[in-house]
Amino acid sequence: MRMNTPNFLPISGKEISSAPGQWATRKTRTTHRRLRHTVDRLASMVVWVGGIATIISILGIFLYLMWEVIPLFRSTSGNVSSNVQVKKEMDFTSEATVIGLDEYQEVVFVLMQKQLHFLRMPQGNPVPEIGGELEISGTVQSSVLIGQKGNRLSVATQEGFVVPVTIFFQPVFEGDTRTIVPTSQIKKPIRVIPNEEELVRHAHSQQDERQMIVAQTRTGNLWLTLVEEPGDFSLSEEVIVTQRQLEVPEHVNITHMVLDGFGKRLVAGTEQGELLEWTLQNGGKEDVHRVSVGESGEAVTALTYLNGERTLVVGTQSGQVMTWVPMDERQARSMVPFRKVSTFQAHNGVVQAISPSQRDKGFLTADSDGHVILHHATTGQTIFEFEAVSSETRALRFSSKADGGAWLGADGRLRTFSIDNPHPEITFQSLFFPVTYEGYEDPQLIWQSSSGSDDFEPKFGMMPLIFGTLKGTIYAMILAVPLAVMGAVYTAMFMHPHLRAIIKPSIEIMAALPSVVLGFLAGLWFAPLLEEIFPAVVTGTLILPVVIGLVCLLWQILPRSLGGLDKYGVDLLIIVVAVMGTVGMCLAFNSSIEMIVFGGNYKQWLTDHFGLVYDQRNAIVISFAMGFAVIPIIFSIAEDSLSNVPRHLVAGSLALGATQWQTLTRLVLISASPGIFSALMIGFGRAVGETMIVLMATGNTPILDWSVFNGFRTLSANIAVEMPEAPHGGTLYRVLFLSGLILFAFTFGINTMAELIRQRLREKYSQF
Amino acid sequence: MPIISDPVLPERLSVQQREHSVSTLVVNKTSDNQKRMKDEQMEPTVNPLAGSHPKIVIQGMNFFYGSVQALTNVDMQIPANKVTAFIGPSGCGKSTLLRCLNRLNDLVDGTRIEGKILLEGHDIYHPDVDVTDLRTRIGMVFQKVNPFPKSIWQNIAFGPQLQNVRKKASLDEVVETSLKGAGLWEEVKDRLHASALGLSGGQQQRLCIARALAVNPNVLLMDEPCSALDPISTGRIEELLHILKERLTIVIVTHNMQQASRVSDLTGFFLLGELIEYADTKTIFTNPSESRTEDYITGRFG
Repeated sequence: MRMNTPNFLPISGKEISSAPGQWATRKTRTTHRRLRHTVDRLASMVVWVGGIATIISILGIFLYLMWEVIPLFRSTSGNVSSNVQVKKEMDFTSEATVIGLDEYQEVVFVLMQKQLHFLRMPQGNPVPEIGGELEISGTVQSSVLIGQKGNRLSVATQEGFVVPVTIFFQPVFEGDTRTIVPTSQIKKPIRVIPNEEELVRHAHSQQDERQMIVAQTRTGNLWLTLVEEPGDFSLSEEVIVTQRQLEVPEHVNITHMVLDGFGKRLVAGTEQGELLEWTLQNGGKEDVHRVSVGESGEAVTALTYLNGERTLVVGTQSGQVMTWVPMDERQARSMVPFRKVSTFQAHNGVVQAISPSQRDKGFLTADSDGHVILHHATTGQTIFEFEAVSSETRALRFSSKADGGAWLGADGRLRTFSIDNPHPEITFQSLFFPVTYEGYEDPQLIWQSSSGSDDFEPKFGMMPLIFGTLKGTIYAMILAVPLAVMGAVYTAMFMHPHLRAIIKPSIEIMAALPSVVLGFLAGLWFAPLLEEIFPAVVTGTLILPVVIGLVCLLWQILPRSLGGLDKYGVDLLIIVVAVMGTVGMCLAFNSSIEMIVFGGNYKQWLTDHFGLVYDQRNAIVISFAMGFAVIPIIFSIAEDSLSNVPRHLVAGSLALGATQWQTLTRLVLISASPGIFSALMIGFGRAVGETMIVLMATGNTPILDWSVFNGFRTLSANIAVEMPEAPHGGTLYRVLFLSGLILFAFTFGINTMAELIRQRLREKYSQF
Repeated sequence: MPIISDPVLPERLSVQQREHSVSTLVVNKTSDNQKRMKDEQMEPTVNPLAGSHPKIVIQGMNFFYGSVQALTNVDMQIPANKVTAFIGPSGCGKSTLLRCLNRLNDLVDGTRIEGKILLEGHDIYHPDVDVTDLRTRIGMVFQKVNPFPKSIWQNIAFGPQLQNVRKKASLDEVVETSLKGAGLWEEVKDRLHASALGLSGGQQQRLCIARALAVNPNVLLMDEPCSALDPISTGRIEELLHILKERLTIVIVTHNMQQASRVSDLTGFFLLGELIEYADTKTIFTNPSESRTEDYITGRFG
């Protein structure tokens, strides 16, 4: 078929050129065109760089948080840092052996009978200037630590004398090298058995100037000796010594005794597998309570207090390792003195020594195979094991910084360990699941990161904080969402444009209010006010909807001729007057309402009827204050998306005979749903991350309780409160970073989800 | 082409009863102008141009956007079952007039109307008139294609649902008859529950026509319905108008002179808010009495 193409003149070869035409060459570009081009390229560069930089910064923040958090979960590492043979001439068969080491783990002392030797590690060379035989008369029968901390030792002789020995480690600096110089001090002997009986075992504790010693004789009698030395400010020079005998039940063979630092109770383990408890406070005749530690009645072979001297660690003949805590006074009436908390990984041999950490609830155990295991009482976990050396254990010591230890075998072998375990109390389990803490009956979710005492057990349960964050957010959203969305609907769809032009910017200005001001007002002005006018607030909440409904009904009944008044906001004015009137009435009758409805005292009423306690800083205050912060954001975005619904869609609906309400509910809300959804999510994000308001107005109580009448603590407020007192690189510091990471993940997750949902909604509902 | 059956609209009867009572009120109002108009209305051949009864009578209408007058003294009678086209340059007030016919201008802030518009003899601007009922009687198709962001089925059922028709069976029936009426049924019957936004522009506009038909109006207003469509889609809609005018009174605003001449029976030419000339289409396009009409039609201005 012939194409009907127009006839062009043929182009001759000369006219075709590969060179660009005049219009396309660089030379012909005017300055303006060049400038335009440059600006365009520059702008796209800036946008590109900005975008990439944003992504990099967010990634950077995420990575930094991760970097700070990851060490929390690193597994413990440990190794045997030295393994030396102590002098052969010492008698390693004696059980009267104590070892210890300085905080840098450079010098180890071994006290065996009267022999006190210092070894410089890791070579194990003896320190020449010091050491040798202590000036003690008689035969050394028992040597123990006084308390669990420090290097105060107590050496007891068969003849019934106790000699306190203190070891000091003094760091001396010569140039850049540090040398640990050990010294020892020996005190006057104390006679602890008044008769001629032979001492076999003793326990020694000290609190300030008050020492308490319990000595067991060969025949099984127990003598308690109290020594009160004059204090620094005491006028008397006299040393008061009181002595009495403790009652021992029949058929009991004591294997171990421990005294707590407060002198409150003596605990003994027996060959029959029991724990015996003497309560020493009441001066007179002590009651003995006993509990069996196992089913099979195996002997208690090692016994010690953990840091804090509340939890006992018990080791048995068959290698069992358990923690036991004393029952509360109240429960003690049941006559069972202790309760088992947890059982740890068992040893194959006999547990021969236990040494607690001096800074946390960790402890080392060693058995008859020379197997040394590190446990942690809070998490109930066995953290690390050192290999066995097939030698019985003579002595074991955890270093004072909990970063190492020393072990002495019955064959004279001395091993020192180094342990890298900076965050022993943190496991995924202990962060997010209930943990049985010292002093609690059941596993609990608790956040309590610090306290005044050193032997405090930190409780890093994140759940109360996560819960608090959600509680605050949810209560704020309960108030903010209906108000903001309905306000936006009214403003966008029904309000007269003149009024809208005033109302919308005024509400948006609310968003500019710093949250610290809101928090300040909420905490210091609104919370006390609410406490006072609570009955009026409750009544107002119930009555206001009824009043507003009535006013709207009256407005409808009003003659048509008045209908045009809404142009001037008369309808709004009437509503405002009605609302203010109702609120005023409620306030005026506050005390009457309290009298009539709540029987004179609403707090009492709440407690009586619902068992709820009203705190001044509570979730209602937060609901108002944070709602106030969130409302403008939700309102503004929702209003925008509602008024951005294309007019021709609205017109299309109205032209089909829809009323404004039908148009709103069946078309506009659906079309605006992506925007409204975004508004809610941005509001949600704001509430989750909000810090100052919750910090100032919640009371920061990390409790798990949905009640609106008490406070909570959020992740963000917790970071703000505790970061200043968290030592750099410490457990708390890293846990706070972890809460930051959780917060980050939380908002990131929610925003991502929200964006995905929004995209889907937008695809579906708003192609215009 | 299938015959369009009336969908069941339960509220229709009551509406008509109400409007009758309105009309008595209208009649009682005394005004010289009105009386004159009323007399005209009574004449058997009220519209010499079309030779049928007027569906809509516009009497001395002025329309203001705030202080700006958009329409000046428009008098017009629109016959039933005919296609009436409004032509004129942009801003001449033809769309405004169209929107006055179903009171969509009510929504625009600061507008004011003088004069009367009678639908079947009843003043549509009477205070007691229920605007939503009026709009079910006067359907509208817009210049900008505006299917709702819903499924095809939901788009059509939207109008009847507003009138509280809930039965799926009757809604299905309305959907089918309306789509058939708009000539879209064959193309979409297998995807009634797919999004209306997935249709082509021409299909979307026919969907909008079907949607307007679903509430069974007497009058269909069309505001430049083909301005955004390709010639084939335009052609289909023009064919549709020929069929629809059997049962509807159609008023169409168009910028396309040829379209006006093809589809309309009568044509009104507007200029600067005034109705310059109103006659049957043939006369307007072949032998206009006004020189301004001729200038516009021949393309000398506008």
